[in-house]
Amino acid sequence: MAVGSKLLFSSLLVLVIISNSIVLTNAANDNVTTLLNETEELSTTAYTAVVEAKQAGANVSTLIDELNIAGEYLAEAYALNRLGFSESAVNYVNLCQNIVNTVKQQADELRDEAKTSTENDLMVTVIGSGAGVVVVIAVCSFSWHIFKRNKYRTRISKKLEVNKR
Amino acid sequence: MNLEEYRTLFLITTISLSLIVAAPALYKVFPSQDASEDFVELWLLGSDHMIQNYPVDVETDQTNTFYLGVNNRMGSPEHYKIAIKMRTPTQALSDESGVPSSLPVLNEYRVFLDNNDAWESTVTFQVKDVSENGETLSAGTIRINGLDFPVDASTNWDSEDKAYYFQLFFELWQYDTTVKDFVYTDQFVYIWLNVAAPLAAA
Repeated sequence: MAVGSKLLFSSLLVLVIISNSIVLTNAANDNVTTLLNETEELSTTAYTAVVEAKQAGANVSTLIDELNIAGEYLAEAYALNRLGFSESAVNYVNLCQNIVNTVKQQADELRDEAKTSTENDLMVTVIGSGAGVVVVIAVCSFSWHIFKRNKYRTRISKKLEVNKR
Repeated sequence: MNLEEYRTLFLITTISLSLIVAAPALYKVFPSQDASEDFVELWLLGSDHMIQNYPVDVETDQTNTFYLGVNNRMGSPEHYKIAIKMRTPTQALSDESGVPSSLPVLNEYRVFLDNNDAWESTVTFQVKDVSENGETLSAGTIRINGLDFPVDASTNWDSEDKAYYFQLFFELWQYDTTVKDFVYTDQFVYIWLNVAAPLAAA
């Protein structure tokens, strides 16, 4: 009877340990999956920031190189997670996150700088062109005025000559 | 020419010169649109970077190499994902055009490319844990770029070509900022592998 109880107790203990292991493993996998999703979102946010910086006129080639390194880490993390190497996957996720966070920050700074530079450039160009147009109109108007006056004087002097004869 | 005609000439000259002087500002305010077509290229090249010498005939555990590349001509920086999958001749690529294969992703590449930029990478693979049973060949593992992926794929003997075929294929996905997710581009490249049966033990 005592042996039977001991056997039952041992079986129950083993069952509890195995169940807990399964629960912990699933929890760990869920954590890695969540981490991967978060990192995916961070990398796409960084990418969007780079696109905005490019649209503002910034040179983003260095940032794209950095994103590609981050992309390699992320792809490696996904592969390792599929193969069950969660710890290694997390390491690659952290490497990826470090890069994309820096890229996002740098992209935002470049975008703001490029926007300001573009706006200043546009203002200078518009003011310069506007002033140029005003000068062209003024010069042409003045030239027309001089030309008309000379034409009028020539016509008057011809009329006077004809009258004298 | 009378005075009216001269006045018209001066007016035309004034307007023309004004437009020339205003052109830089007008160009910045109304930039020209690029009328060229947007597209992306995906390619597979053999071991010598040519459209030949693909590693078609493979032995078990033999390392094989080819090149996979993407060229972005979409007019803006783009984010791509290339999903690597494997199938047998009896498994369909997909049910309809524009829909990706439902087969599991083995490995993938994540690529960020500026406009008119290209990316290329070496792909190394080995077919491992191969066994033959009658006229069926099974491959337990495929190693891609140093990582072993369990596939447990079986293919039947092709009596016409006298070969056991598997296919590695590469789907191109593009990140869509509107949808905020990757969208399948309906572009893929593939390579058929004629896997040699392992020699029977003496």
